[in-house]
Amino acid sequence: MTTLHTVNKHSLNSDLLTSCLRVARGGDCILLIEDGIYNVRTLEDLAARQGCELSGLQCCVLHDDLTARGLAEKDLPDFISAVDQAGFVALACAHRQSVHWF
Amino acid sequence: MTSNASGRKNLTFISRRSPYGSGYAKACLDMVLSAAVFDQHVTLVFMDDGVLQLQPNQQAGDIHAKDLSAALAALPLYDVDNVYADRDSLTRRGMFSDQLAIEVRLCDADKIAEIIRQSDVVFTL
Amino acid sequence: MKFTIVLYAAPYSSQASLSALRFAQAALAQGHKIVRVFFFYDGVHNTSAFSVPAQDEYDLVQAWNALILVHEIDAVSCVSSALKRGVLDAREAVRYERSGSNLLESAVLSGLGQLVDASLISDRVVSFGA
Repeated sequence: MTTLHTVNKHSLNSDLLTSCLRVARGGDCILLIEDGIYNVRTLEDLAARQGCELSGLQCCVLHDDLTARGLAEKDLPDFISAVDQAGFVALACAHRQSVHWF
Repeated sequence: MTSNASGRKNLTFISRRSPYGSGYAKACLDMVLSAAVFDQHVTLVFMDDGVLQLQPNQQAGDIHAKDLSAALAALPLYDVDNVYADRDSLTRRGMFSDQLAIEVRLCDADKIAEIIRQSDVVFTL
Repeated sequence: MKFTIVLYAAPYSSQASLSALRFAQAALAQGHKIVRVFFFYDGVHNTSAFSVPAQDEYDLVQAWNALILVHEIDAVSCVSSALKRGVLDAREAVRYERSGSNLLESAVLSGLGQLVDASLISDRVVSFGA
């Protein structure tokens, strides 16, 4: 019973990602949407500081929210992949619960 | 285990906002009470700024608000008994678990993760 | 799968309304069913037919209206959230003696029980907030 976590704000001005990382467990997916996109540059450091093992988590960004903000897939670290809207729906189907951190 | 035999679902509410600065905390409580009226298996978790709702001695009348902690005190009347507060969130806000407005069970991140996984639906507000 | 979508945020104040709309469109395009869209808290503003965006702006409220009508989705605006934010149907406008009503034709006003009920009959509940 894994969970899709969606995060829509940046960790420098909210505790959303911190809280999400505290309760995300192996097999879960963290999908960064809206201003959550800006976490792509800091997610790895934040997780390391919290002692959170990212390797067991799937990390994604919503493609159109990424490119809207002047970033591209080539700017993503290896462990983060981009999904389109259909991919977002597929993730919601693949995980039992969806938790929106907003 | 989810969706037990009686057809009830496990509905979890993670209340993570302070009580009066926005309407979210009140809205979350309204959702909890609605779910309880529908006789669902309800779990309420106070996390992040949500633990500030547990501050005792709230006197919100002068800001034309209803005392939220008084409303929280009604939870047992709705048979909402699974009420948790995140210990780490309390500690970071200088709050003490023996000085809270209502009786709650303390929990850690592992417990919240477990609650989420055992839920059919999770609302964070 | 059967989805319920919950929207807590007003249009234009944040991206959340558009995110929810795009998710709903994508889910329907994949053949999923949307059991109910529940507009709660500031989300009720998405059901105000009096919203008039600038000509060069995307008309979110009408986009919701079209989606709901075309796909015959049950759309509920939370009555307690809506009334205090000035979103009224004709009946409430008469009852509270207000000068007009503005609830979107495709939506109805109802209580939080409709969200609980939707949770019980859906496979997935996906929320969007600001």
